[in-house]
This record gives sequence, structure tokens and C-alpha cells, in this order.
Amino acid sequence: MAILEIQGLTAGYGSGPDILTGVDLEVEEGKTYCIIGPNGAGKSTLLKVVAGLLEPRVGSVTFNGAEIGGKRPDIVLSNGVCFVPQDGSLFPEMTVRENLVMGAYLTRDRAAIAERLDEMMDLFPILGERSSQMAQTLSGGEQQQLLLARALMIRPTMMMIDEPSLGLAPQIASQIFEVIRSLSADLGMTLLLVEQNVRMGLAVSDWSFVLDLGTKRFEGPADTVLDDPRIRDLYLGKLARAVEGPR
Amino acid sequence: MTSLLELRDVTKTYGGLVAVDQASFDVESGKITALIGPNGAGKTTAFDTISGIIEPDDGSIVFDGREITGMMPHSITSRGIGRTFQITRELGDMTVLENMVVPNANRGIRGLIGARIDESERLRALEVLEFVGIAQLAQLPAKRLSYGQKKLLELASILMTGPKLVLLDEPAGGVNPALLERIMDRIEKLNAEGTTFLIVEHNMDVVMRLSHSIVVMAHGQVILQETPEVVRNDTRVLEAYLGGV
Repeated sequence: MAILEIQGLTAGYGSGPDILTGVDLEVEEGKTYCIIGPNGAGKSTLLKVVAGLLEPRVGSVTFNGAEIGGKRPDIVLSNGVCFVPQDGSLFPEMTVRENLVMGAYLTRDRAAIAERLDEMMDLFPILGERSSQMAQTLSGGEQQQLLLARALMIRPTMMMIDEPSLGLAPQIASQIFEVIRSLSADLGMTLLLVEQNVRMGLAVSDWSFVLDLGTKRFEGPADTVLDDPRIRDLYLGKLARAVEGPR
Repeated sequence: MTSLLELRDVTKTYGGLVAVDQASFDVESGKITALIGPNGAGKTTAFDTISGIIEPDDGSIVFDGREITGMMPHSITSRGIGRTFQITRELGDMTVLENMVVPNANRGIRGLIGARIDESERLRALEVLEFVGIAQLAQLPAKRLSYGQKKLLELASILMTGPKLVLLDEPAGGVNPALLERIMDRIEKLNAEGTTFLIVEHNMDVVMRLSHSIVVMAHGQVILQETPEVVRNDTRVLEAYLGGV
């Protein structure tokens, strides 16, 4: 059964054009999904709408049966949906521990926060070692782990992660994807990823949604979606001149 | 084939990151060449070295038979290379017409603050604005234009300098389909009249329609330069876009 349902979603920024048009998709609990598509497809925008950072112009977003489309980000969070953006939203001059505590901002129970901090230090040992260091002194891979751990402090049901490998060396990116794989395998988390390294993103996913120019073109199992001949058209365009002949 | 622009082994590093790694390619005179590649491939850095915004660490850039490596941007512009930016850089409080004459104000600071546009310059600016289709907006402050119209203004303003080579950074980015069609049409018309283009663009339908030659970059390196037909069928290109495990 679907935990997230998006129906007829159209959205855009300010008075600008629609970035997403009529997107329908369903996400089942406990599975990992990778949204792929060329630049400008609307992948990050889709995550922002679900996270409550952008209002739908048309359509609905329901999570666990409740409408969350157009709700404030904190309301969406309290429904169990957490968004890890790509633009390094850590507090650079706060320590690792303080950043983690900020992740539990909506939780009032101090004992629960302390327990979750311990859990995070276990799950991400490097953060335990660096707990009193300022976030800005961490390496790129460590910062990405801190972003994931901070999101987990709220104990979300679903996490949306935008470009987890952005700016990371390939080896570090592989480690981050191992962490993402364990979020699903060990914690049973529902995950919605956007990832420019398509093969890496698909390798940890069950299913893929393929977006182009704001619409969902097709979807399919993560291990076979790249075999679809439409992928070449999407990433490399159509040959206009093949019809017209060479100039 | 005559190369208007030649890059040979151009390298640019930032700290430990090699943004452009011994890149070599040619832009043929009178043709439209596209520079493509996934995010972080080094396309904009390559553009910046050609337009003089950054100096390469190594390698040479030859334009119209003369070395331009490491020259200042205004010297490069005066030699006949015009460039647009990914994010438009209009002067928002000045009118569209005033924006048009700024790149041509080559009479020093006096020319800029003189606040007079002579008649021949005004007519030439209006003619170029007419060509890109925004002459009716000439008296509006540039900040009132839509994003797509700002892209047309930027193209128009660099045409005022009469460039031999136009570098376009993402001409299709954020532009609605009707304006995009107009931008492509104007590029094709200018090219038919002899202007050479080098275009960085993510919209691959635009790239495949406009280009005679495509340079593909990945991880700072040029992996091939070929016709659209060859590029589209080369497995290395799709792999570069999809990344590795």
C-alpha cells in the first residue's frame, strides 16, 4: 500500500512557469526510490513540494492518508517526512552534537533526545569521534553523514535525500550510499532519492521514476530502468538533423 | 576546415581539484559548436578561460590566429569574442536601450557618464533589439523584463560589439518554449550570416538541433569532439551522464 501519493501535481516558483506538470506517483512503505532525469527535469522541485518548501499549484500530496501538499515544512516534518537538501544546510559554527540536537527541534522529551544522540553516534561512529568539533571542520563525506544523522533525529517514516553524492570523491560517495542502503535494510526507512550519479542511486534503490521537463515519462524497477531505449533520448536528446539531413 | 578558436591542453585547477584537465578542442569558423557534459564536467570553467575571466594554469588558447591565453576579458571582447552568462547580468535600473550601449562604451569613463546615446548608436541598438524581438521594450527598465527576455537582451547587447565568436552559457535555461524557439531561430539566423557560436547547454534537444559539432567533457577532460549523430551513439557519452557505480 502506498504511503506517499502524489496526484496531478503542478508546481513552479513565484510567478514563473510550471516546473512540474501533472505528476502522479506512488511510494510504498519501506522501499527505496530513485528519481532520475536530465537537468531541469524537476527532480529537486518535486522533493521541495513534498517537503512543504513549495506549494502545489494544482494537485495533491498525501502521506499516510493525510494531505500534506501546501502545509508548512514543520507540519510535514511532524507527519514523519524529512528532507535532506543538497545545499549543505548544516549550522557550520555549531558542533556536531549541537547540529544533531537541532534535528530533534520538534521533540520536547530531553531523555528521548539523549537516547537518539547515542543511537546516532553508534550508527555513525565518525560523528561520535567528532561530536564536539564544529560542523565546518568536517570533511565533505562526514558532513553528509551528519546531514543524514540530523534528519534521523526526528525519527522520520520517510526520508527524501537530494543529491547525496554531490561534491564527494567517488570512494566517499560509495560510503554514503552504503549508509543509505543500511537506512533501508536495517531501519526499514522509506527513501526517496534524487541523485546525479544515476547508476549509484539506482544500485541502492528498488524502483525508479524517470522525469523529464517536469513530467513523469515512465517508471520501472531500478535494476532494469536504464535498459529502456527512451533513456538515451532523455539524456542525449533527439537528433533533429537526422530527419533534415546534414547541413 | 578553418578553426576560429583552438584550445590546446588547457588545464585549470582549484586547490586539489582539476576543473579542466588538458582540454583540447576546436571551434570551426562559421559553425555552431556545443560543449556538453554532466554537472561538474568543467564546461563553465573552459568558457571562463576562453573569455578571460580566469587564467588557465597551462595550455594555450588561440583565437583568429592569435594567442589570447590569459588576456583580460575586455581585450578578448575587443578581439571579437562575446559571451553571455548562465545567470543574466543586466543592469536592472537602466533601460533596455541603455543596457545595449554599455558594452559598446569604448570611449572610457567619459563615454559611460556622458549620459548621451548618439543617434547612430541608438538606431543600431534598436535594429538589434528588433532582430531579437524586444524593440518594443526598449524604454523599460531592464529589471521589468521576464527571464527569457533578459536572455534575449544579453544576446542583443553582445551583438552590439559585432563579435566573430559568440559564447552562450545555457541559452535555453529557464526559458519558456515560445521564447526558446525564438532564441534558437535567432542563433540559426546569425549563424547563417556568418557568426560562429560555442554553446554550453543542458537541453539536449536544443544541442542536437543547433550544433554542427559537439565537444563532450567529463571530469575536466574532453572525451570526444564529433558530429551530433556520432556523439549521440557513442556509449562513452551516455555513460558519462549516468555515472559509474
